Amino acid sequence: MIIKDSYVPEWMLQEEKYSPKMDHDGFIIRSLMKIMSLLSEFRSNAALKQSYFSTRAKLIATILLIILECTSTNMFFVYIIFAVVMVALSTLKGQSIRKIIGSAMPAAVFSALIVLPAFLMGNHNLMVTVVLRVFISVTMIGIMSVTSPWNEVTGSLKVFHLPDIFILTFDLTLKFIMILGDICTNMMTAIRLRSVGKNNRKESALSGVMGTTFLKSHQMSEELYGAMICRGFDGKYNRRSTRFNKHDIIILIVMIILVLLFIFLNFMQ
Amino acid sequence: MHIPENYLSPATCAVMTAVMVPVWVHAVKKVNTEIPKKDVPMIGVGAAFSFLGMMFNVPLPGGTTGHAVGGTLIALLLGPNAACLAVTVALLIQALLFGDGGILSFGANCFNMAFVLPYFGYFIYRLIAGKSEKKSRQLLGAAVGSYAGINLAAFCAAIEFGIQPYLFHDAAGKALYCPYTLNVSIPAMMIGHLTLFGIAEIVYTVAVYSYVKTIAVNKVSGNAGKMVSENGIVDNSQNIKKKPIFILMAVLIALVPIGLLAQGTAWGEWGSDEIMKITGLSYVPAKLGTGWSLSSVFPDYTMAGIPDAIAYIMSAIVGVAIMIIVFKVASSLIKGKTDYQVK
Repeated sequence: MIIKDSYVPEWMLQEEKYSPKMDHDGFIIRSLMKIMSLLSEFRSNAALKQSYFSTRAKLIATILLIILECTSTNMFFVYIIFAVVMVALSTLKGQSIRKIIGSAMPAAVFSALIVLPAFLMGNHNLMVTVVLRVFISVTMIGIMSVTSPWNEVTGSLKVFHLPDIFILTFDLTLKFIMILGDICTNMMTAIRLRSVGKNNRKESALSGVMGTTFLKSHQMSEELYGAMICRGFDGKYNRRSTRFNKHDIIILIVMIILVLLFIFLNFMQ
Repeated sequence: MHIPENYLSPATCAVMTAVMVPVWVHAVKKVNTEIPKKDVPMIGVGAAFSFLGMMFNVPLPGGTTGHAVGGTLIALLLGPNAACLAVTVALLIQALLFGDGGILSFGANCFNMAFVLPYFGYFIYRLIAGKSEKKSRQLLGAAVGSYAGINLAAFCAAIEFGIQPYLFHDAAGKALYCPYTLNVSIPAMMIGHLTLFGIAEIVYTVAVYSYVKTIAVNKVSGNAGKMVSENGIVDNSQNIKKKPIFILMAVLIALVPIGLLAQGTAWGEWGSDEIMKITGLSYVPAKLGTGWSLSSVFPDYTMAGIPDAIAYIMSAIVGVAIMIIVFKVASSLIKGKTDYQVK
């Protein structure tokens, strides 16, 4: 049936034969996903509540344990640390455990590949000593980062008498990763939505995204600096360090025991 | 009861593993539907109890040792399907990390200890305890169930050992794998399990079960006497308190070195280096001596140059922690179900 005497113009009644060519925009989706997952990591970390132990104590304990575990010549001490780390890991949520193992396993596999030649040439010990140590270290860092808010971690760096300007840079970096990541996501989504069919200029558009983000960041940093000056910033940055809490005594006791064990196992035998 | 590497022929191992596959699939499916996501880590706790129970070796005059398995215990607390998975994971960690039980014979070990033991033990428990609310009847059921379970499991292990020389021997009639026929292996396994090891299993099961039921179960919810409902579904309406359970676990870990007092190796678990001396056999079975085996991180729960007791405790801690980690990760992988019935 043909509609006559209608108000529909001629060109609208014509059948459209346009079918857009398939476009390969996998790279945009992939970069989007990557940034999104990173941002969601930031968001979930920001939503973190105060953990049982203070961040400050955890940071000190983590660094101390990594040093002890890497310098110990006695393998048994490394096994003890392994047991401690496993127990700590078993108290976390399944989701967090998966995240931590997901980063510790590749690190262990990678170090195993590096040690492989030595292993094949007959040094079988190295396989256990190096790989296990790497696994333990990365797991400890993972536990630390999963259980503590990152702004508290940077704040706790004061314990090591890091210059304030360093901590300021750290703080700003973490914040700006978040903001710039958001900007990137928005722009990439815009490119995707505005591309119909095959868009050969998408690659150049992506470099445009990077350029724009950089310009924006520059502008933002100037604005931030201006805002800080207006609020009386005189170049000195006093970051309040996080406090110890009463649960930290448990960490302290474990640390003392481990240090004594380290000394006993490495020097007294 | 851990069958080591090379005591069973690869063919036997393959058959036993093939038998276990549908059991595992069934257990995983059932656990997925029956046990709420938040309780899945409790299976890890159950596995940890089984793992610890297996570390308490009980000596039998004559130089062999044995231990409780605790499969029935987990079945009573969480249902037989969860018990199957829990014991499977405990056995896997023992095989991979501590060299207790073989990798190839893993399927056979699971058949005995993760399938026969918990399901049969649970079946007997239900037969005796039924729907009774009386505590004495439940404990009686737990005792008889665990005793029956471990003995049937040991009997299965004895048959697996015993059929090896009939099926696999060289031209001279020397056995290639386990050298003992049924008329030796059955009495050797059963005497221990009918007496001391069976009693150890009863004591372990009843003690932990009554502890968990009297102390760790929230009385608030009312029906504290009933942990598993008629069709084996874990009752949601009550919570198992975690703290007393972890205290019990810590105590058990600290006590683990008691298991070292029992010197000697369990029947049928000798290494190829000790088999001639202990059994008085005139030869080492060909495949048993030269077969493939994995070198584990902590062979027999010990470490060179470290006092056995400390290494034993360390093994217990690492084993327990890894099992809890495994089931926590598993529970995070399960998609949460929304139960619209619950308000």
